[in-house]
Amino acid sequence: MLTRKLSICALIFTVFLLWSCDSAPPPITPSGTSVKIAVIGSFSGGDSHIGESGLRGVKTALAIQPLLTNGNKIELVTLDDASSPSSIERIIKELVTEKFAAILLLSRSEIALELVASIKTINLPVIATVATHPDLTSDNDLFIQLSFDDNFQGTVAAMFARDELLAERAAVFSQPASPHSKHLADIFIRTFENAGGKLIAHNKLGDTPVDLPATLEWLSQQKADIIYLPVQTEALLNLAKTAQQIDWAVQAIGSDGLLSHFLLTQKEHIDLIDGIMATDVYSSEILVTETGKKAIATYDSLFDDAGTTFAALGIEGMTLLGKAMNTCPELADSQCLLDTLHSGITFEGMMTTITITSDGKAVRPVYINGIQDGRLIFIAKVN
Amino acid sequence: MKYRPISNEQAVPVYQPFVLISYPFRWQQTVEAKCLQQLHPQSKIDCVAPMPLPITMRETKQTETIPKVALFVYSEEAAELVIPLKENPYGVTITAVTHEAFFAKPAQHLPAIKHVVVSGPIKTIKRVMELALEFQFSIGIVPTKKQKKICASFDLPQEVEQAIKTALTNADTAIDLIRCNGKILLFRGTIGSIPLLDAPSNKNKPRTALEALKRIRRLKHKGFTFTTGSNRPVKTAACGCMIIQQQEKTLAAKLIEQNNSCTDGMISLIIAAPLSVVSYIKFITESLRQDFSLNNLTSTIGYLKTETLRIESTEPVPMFIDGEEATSTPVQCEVLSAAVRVKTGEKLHQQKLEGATPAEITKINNLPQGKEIIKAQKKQIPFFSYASEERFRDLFLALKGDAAIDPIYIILMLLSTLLATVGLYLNSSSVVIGAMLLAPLMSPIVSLAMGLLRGDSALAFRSFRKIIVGVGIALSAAALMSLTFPYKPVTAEMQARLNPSLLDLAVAVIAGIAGAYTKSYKEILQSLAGVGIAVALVPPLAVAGIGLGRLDLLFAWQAFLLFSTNLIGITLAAAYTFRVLGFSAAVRNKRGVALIAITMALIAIPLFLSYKQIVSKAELEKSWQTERFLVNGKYLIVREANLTNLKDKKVLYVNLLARDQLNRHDLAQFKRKIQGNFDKKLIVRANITYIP
Repeated sequence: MLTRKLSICALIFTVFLLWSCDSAPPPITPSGTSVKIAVIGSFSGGDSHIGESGLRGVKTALAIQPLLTNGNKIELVTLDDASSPSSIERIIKELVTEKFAAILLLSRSEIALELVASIKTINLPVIATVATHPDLTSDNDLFIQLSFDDNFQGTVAAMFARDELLAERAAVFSQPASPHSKHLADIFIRTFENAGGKLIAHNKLGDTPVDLPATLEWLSQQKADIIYLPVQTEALLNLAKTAQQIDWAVQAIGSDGLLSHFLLTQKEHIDLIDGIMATDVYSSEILVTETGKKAIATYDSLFDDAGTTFAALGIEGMTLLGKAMNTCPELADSQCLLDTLHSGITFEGMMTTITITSDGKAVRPVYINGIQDGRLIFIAKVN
Repeated sequence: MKYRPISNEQAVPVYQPFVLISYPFRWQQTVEAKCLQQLHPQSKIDCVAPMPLPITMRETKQTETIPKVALFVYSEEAAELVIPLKENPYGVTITAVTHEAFFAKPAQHLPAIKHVVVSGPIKTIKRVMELALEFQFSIGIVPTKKQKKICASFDLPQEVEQAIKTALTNADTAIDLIRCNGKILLFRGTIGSIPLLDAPSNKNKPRTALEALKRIRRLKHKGFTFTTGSNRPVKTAACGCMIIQQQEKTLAAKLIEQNNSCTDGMISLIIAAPLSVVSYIKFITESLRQDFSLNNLTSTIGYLKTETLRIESTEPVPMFIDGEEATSTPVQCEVLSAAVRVKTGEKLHQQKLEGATPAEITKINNLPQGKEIIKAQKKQIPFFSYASEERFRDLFLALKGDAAIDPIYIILMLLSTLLATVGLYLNSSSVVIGAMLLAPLMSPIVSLAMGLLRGDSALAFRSFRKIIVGVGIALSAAALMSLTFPYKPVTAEMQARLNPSLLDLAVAVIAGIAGAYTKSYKEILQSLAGVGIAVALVPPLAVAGIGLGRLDLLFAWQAFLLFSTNLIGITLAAAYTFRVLGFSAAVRNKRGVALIAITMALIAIPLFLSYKQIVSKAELEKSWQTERFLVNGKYLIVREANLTNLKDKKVLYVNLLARDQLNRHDLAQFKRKIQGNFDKKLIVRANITYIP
């Protein structure tokens, strides 16, 4: 009887084992050859958190797949832009001194746009993980934009405000010194007005001081029912404090990275922005893909720091580059890489499948997140 | 030959206390008891013919007297009591003697002494009692500081002064002595293991219960035969038993608290025979209640009260008397009624006066009987109980009746299917529910579950045959009806039965549990559970029949798969419910359990394979409620999405809200964007509502 029971158990176990086993990939033999990838990022200066975090993501992806399918090893060469567009000239000089297969760019749009002008001289494919300005890819075959572009982001923000929140009167605060902020504001205004909404005011925050209490008081009197804020954390904090002073509760939408950066740097003021929404690349409440699960586990085993949006984009950037390089057997064949990256390549990102179109833009959703009771929550996903 | 107390003519009213001392004191003894004179040849008591003890006589044994002289027998730890006793204010002259000296030559100390005060360990007290039997002196007990058990049992004060007063001045209470294989049992005698019952009742109850739970898994039943005074043998299996004599504060004593165990001339025996861990947990839970008593014994406990008792076991089991290993089975126990006079507390004395006429009690219905005894002894206590067919005869007869096919079943099955089919075509939930009320599927499924559980192949086969006949009728009736319909729409009620979900399985399992539970208790309205079962079976069966009528085999197969899953889910849930309720077979349940395990393993494979799909579908449908699309600048809000299988393709039904009119290009891009979220090609069906 016992033997029979054991046999049954063994049979069931075998069936489940066979069913659950995926076919393991064949082991890769190291070729002894290295392929160099230039990683340009803000590893110092005001945006150092972007570069450092992104680099951790790149290293995580390499830890998962250390070798290309031809056995070549990827070697990372980091180049610090010191959070300043002016350093691009120096970096270009450094790039020509060595043979690189591709560039991973972990910097903001301002720096990325500076690189656009010079990149044709070195003719290397660039995967920009963070930069979202649409001009990066508008007249440039070398740039691949991993994040969604600002046209899509700004349009989503405007249509969400108009059709989902049913806002009719909007005000915009932007920082014209940032091309990213300026472009988002322009797109939002254009789309909102085209959809039948009315723009009450476009306030530009810059060198000239703005009387925020008076401005917000006026907007309140004008019955603005949505404020679009493609601004940085400090500007948001000032606006939130002023709104609280004049006791004005209004719906607001920010742009990518605003809420997560606010949580990271201004957590003690989180109650000031309760109810605010923002467009984002990821959402903490969305189920991650199998690739995402593996990446998170690897990241946690490698680093003590908490994973960020920039780290996740770093993982996706290296994963995309690795996939493209695996289709090009020749060592550092930049043209093959460019052709592959523009061929409609699809790969599994952290939360969804991402496709790169022929014009170098990523087809990926915009997540709308919000702050509720001091916590980042998911609201909607716009494809 | 029996002993009896002094005769009626010698009875003396209670208001003449001193008279009794001048009479030889006698005690009642039982049929098997040996003559005390044989045990103690020096005793001057005669063996006389048996005669019941008259109440008047029992009452006269309580005397209220202060002796003029008394002997104080003490052990080393009680030496400090010598002075307080000698200086007692009650005018009693005390002669102190160590227990070693007294036990060495008792006769030397006793001729002029009619009262002995004792203080020392239990052994010493018991030895003094033995001598009291022989020399007819009364006893006063001064407990030492640690002897709380004695204080509680004899209602003695703990303070020395009060204890001395009680030991010298209180009225005598004639108490019974129990002898087991010649050894005096003062408090309790334990054979085997009886978790919880042997624990003190004043101990932390939850902790006691937890300790009992730890012990219960190690218990094993042994075969026991208990022969009572009326020569009635009780054969059973038990893990242990306990004779309780004094009012010791254990949970077991609590069971018999109202029966004056030390003064009723009877032996009280508690038998612990937990049939399962579950039943014992039930008992433990009940024992924590305040009103826990003999009147609400659970299936775990048996109780005997008898004048004499013989305990035999299939293998020798040691007996612990008052905490010490004293003898082993077979054990012959006899009660020496009103054998010694002890100056006890007022409370015990009062109970003695109020004591009812003793009578033999036998409460053994809850103990294993027949085949259960064999089953119980085979291994350690199972988690769930088992039961012999005799124990639940009515239920099993009813189940056998339910497994038989009769015209009523066929007609009801036919009518319910026809009604369900019409209801499905009408997309009317109320008509479908009406069909469920008619469906007679509960009875054969419950019978099948019981048949499988108990390994009753005849019952299982007949029940299965009845279900198959019902299924055949349902499929045929629905198919024929569908064939006659010129228009065959696929309604939402049908769609709901084409993709089994976890909720459907939950319905099946809960309905199965409800079906078995209601069948086990006559007082519950069974039709309610029948509806629950019909919910899970009749509509999918009717949809499968409709699929056959539409000549769409995939349609029929999908619905039939749901029906099969539900049928097995219900059967298994019902079987395990019966198992939990203690309906497993006593001796032949192995085959049934194995069959259930194999069936479960077989059904687990497709269920496991579909599990991921079901979960991902549910997740997808939920996530799509927050899905939005931006198509050529037009914003689309998804209100609801439903993913279903149609033949070999997936179909996504989406309800959308939009403000702008969508053209062909917009819809094409929308479809492309949706397709980007799926690995396989899918058909998209969008329902767009335009909002102003």
